[in-house]
Amino acid sequence: MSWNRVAVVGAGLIKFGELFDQSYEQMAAGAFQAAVASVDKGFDPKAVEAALVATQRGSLWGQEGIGGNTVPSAIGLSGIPCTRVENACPTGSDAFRIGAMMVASGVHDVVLVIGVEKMRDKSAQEGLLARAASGHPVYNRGETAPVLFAPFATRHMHEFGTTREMLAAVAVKNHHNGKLDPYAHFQNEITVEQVLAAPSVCQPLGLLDCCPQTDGAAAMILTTAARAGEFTDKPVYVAGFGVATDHPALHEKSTYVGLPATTLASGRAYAMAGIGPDALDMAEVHDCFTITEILDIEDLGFVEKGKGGQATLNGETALDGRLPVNPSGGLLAKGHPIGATGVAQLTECYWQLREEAGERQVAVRHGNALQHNVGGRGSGVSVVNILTRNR
Amino acid sequence: MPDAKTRRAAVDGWFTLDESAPALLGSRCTGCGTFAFPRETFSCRNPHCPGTQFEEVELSRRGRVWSYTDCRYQPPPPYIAAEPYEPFALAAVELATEQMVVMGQLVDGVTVADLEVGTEVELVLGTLYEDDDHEYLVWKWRPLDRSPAGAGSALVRGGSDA
Repeated sequence: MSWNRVAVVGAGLIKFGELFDQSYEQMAAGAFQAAVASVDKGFDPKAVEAALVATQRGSLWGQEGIGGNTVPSAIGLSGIPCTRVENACPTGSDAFRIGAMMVASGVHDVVLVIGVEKMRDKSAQEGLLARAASGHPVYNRGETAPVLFAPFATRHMHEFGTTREMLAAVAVKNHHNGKLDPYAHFQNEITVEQVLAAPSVCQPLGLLDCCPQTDGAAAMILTTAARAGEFTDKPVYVAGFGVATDHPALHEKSTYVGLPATTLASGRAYAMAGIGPDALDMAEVHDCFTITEILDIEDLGFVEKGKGGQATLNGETALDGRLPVNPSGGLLAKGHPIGATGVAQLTECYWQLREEAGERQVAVRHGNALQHNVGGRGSGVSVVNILTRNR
Repeated sequence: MPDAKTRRAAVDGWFTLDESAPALLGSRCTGCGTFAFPRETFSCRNPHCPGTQFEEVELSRRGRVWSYTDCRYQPPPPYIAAEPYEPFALAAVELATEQMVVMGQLVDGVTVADLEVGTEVELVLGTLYEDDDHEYLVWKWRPLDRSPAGAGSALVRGGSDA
């Protein structure tokens, strides 16, 4: 391969939550400062040659046409090339992938990837729900995210005997992890009983089966493996990535018990990294709903198709399990500020591989971590990134 | 005020307006026979078929529930909700001949408690919304009976395409 090997040398977040007191640019600047401060040997911000800003829905704070240009100014780097990236729920993870390719190509040596999203400035009815409901006049009428995912839960329960308790186990686990993550939106434990008793949203999904709407920002600094030593002795490398698309409409799906885009994207990422799921120490996956994490861990090859619910109930994906999933608390507890989500998941992978994750640190045996998002209309796009600390 | 609103399709060309036996209008590839709904006009949905010629066909009026859910919260505009909002049920219905699943609302009064995977349903016309002059129609699914039906549905290209 004629590409440069790519290294991550810094990463940082702001605390996720309802950040009415911060502007979009302030959130981005907070994440950038955290990423700069995290660089072991120090980092002069002027070293950044180019930046990508991942934002999915500027419409949620009244800036549909937000470009990349306000962020460099806010972080003291006005003048650098900066581009906004959008790719549905995988917006942040795809910005990271594109940033890695910018470094890999040799065009830039040091690239900044910032994910930032304001979700709370508009109410749910005016905000994400309203935007998600646009589209075809009949087909997409009333079609919002829980409506898209609930039939997968119904069918998964029918076909594989997955239970409400298994779905609830995902939420309970991720809230447990979120309690250990100082950046998580929600930092409280919940019980299976609470999940089952929560108000129904779309049968069989209740309120605690759904991720919240959260403001947040995350930033990562990428450079070539050759230059990584200027910044740290513990870089984490980009081992592989994959992107895939699928039909957008529910009636075009080939299955309601899996998300083919995830399978396709992860296959490409595993092939590029030269490893399989057995070589992972942890994963951050897209748990916008409890059923989604069950689909993910099957589609990513962590467990056999149909076994995701039982595996979760058995603790296989817990912090001390066979393959810890969503140690950060996931979208369910940490939150889902869309453009920031993927970058924050990758930041968690970076911390875990550097063994800096504190109380929620997993055992690192292989040195590899996987990050995954799936989304868009009908879950029609997925991005998977694999990081490694192995030279 | 006379109760004589004109009944018309909410979207033209997607289904017939035959009140007693309406049908979805799909397409069939003249090359490989693959069905599509809504009608395909560009290239065949079968990735192994290079077909670009399609004939319009009426799809099966009956099918079996492949999966289902409901919407307990009022969707935002452009959804036009009755006041007060009544949650509605949605089903993905498997059409055996076409090897296809089509989403649709259930007729008013049917809830998820009335549904199981495998429940046989029939296509009917239902009102999506109204204005002063028109009643806008869309297809809805109506259960034929409520006995536990064939659970072992053999759909489709099931499983993940690993």
